[in-house]
Amino acid sequence: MVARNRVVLWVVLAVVAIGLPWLNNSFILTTAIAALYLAYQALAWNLTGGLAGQFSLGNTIFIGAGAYASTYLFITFGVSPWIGIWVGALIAVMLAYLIGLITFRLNLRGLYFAMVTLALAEMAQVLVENVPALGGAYGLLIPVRGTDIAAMQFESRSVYYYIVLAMVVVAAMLMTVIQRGRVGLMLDGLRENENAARAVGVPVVRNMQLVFALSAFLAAIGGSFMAQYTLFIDPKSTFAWTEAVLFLLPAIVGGTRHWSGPIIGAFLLEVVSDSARLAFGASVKGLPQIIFGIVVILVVMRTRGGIVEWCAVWLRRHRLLAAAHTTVAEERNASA
Amino acid sequence: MQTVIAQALVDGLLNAGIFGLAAVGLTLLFGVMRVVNFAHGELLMVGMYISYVLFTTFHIHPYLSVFLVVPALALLGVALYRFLLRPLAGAPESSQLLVTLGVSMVLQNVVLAIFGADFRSVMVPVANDAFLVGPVVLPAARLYGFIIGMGACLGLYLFLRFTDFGVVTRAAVQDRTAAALSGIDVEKVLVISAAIAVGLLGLASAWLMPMVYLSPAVGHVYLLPSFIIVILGGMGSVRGAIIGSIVYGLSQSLGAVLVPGSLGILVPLILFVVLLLVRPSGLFRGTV
Repeated sequence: MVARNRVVLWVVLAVVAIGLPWLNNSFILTTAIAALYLAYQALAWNLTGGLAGQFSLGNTIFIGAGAYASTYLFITFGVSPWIGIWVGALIAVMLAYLIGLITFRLNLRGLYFAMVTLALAEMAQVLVENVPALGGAYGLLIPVRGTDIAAMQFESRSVYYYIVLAMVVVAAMLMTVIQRGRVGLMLDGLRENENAARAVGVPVVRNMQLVFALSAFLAAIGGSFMAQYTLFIDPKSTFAWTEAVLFLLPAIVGGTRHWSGPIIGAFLLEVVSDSARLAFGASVKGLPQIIFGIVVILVVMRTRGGIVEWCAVWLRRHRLLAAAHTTVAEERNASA
Repeated sequence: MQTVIAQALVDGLLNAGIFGLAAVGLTLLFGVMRVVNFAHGELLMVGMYISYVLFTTFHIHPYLSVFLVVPALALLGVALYRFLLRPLAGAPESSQLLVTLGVSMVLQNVVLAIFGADFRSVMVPVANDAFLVGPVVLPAARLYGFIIGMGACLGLYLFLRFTDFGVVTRAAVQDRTAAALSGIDVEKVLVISAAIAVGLLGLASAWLMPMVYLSPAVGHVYLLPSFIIVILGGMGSVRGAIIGSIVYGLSQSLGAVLVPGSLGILVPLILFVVLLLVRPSGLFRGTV
């Protein structure tokens, strides 16, 4: 019964996800791309933030590495972004390895880790602003080529939609694979009690570095994708700390323990902010962020584990209650 | 060149007063309730807008507006503690981080919705006054800011060091349970600390008004420096925050003149990262 429900749910989800572009509604498509990208970056952040419990406020470094690598290579050397993406991802992994090497090894955890990554992101912004080849403070414009597969440019938005959809699916699968494997168990252990995990022989630093590098890898690919989608990048909006915060919100709101958490969180935030924009127009500036802020406060104060966990707990209680009711009723029937 | 460096030293020192006011509050909050307040910069920004509105509507000089801004912000601090931080006592530290992040988003964007993103400033004569000491210029507003800022920081330090309430606060910082068991009203300590920590931002905002252009994003300019100062000095240490703000101010102003381009901003950041790696506990340990 439960298994059949699950199959139905999956089929409906797949049909909706794949069929969305056929609605031919550019507003819905744009919103869906924005929500999926948000979900993707939140999934990338969640590998370190959720699974290892280390809050990175510097994922913009990796997003920037991806965006700048693919864009720079394309503009200067004509290298296809399809190749540039991997160069950016490689640079991001190396950066994450270096950052992880110093921070994790020196036992900078929790708030310290958050603040070091925040400071490093700020440094990345200043550095890029001072490199003329990367466009300095003005940023880089990618020349428009119309539909050119080699240049990863498409006039139809639905192509971008399918790309980012595939990225979300891969990121969600990667998270689940890690979580269910040996590494996932070790991460659970070190997140809940690092000393205990260390005592039983969990290589804490190596595991943290692993997920941080994977997180950087995914973030950089996302950065390249976004650069190709908007065809413009600049240091201020790439490395802004509000961006780093934006990409961790969906995971927090949705839940960090299950792949669906960041995705549900992203769609919730996107839908809420877009309806606010539709309802009030552009007259109230910053309204989506106000709502984001309130949602985050409410979720942290009320649910602790995010919406997905809250629903799971509610469902379980509901089922238990139903089971209890049937037992009571059966006993009453039997005694009567 | 010597003049330039002397000027940079003076500028750095003068900036330390205002940085100190923000950092001392942050370190106090961390000390007594283990909260790193990501809304600290935005609370400062809100104080500046209150001061701005008082100036534009009632023509109250920013320096006089402290008498209204400080109580208003102290009240905000108590509300923040009472409604958001107290219910989260005992929750993982990430919960407090996220809630204060949420508060900072709400505050920044509420101000954006009301006032827009335009830069604003108040025109008061003091903004153009300056004293000359040899070849070095001491802008009056910065000098007053330094005197008030450092004065308030030192006052808080002496208060925590030598008064009965200070002893009680330090006891609550060291071991909350033991303090409560020996009859200390820890709840009162926390409320008063929140009021002081955020109230000091009111002082800072009034004294910043003649020197800065106001925008809803201005809080972020002070957030990262405050964090850096707090960590430099040792989290929870008021004395450390005072020294840290001087170190930060000097590294910032010297970096700006000695390093080409806008790369000078990197100097305090590098200092911060290196110090974290070498001595993560900061320069000073302890509660005051």
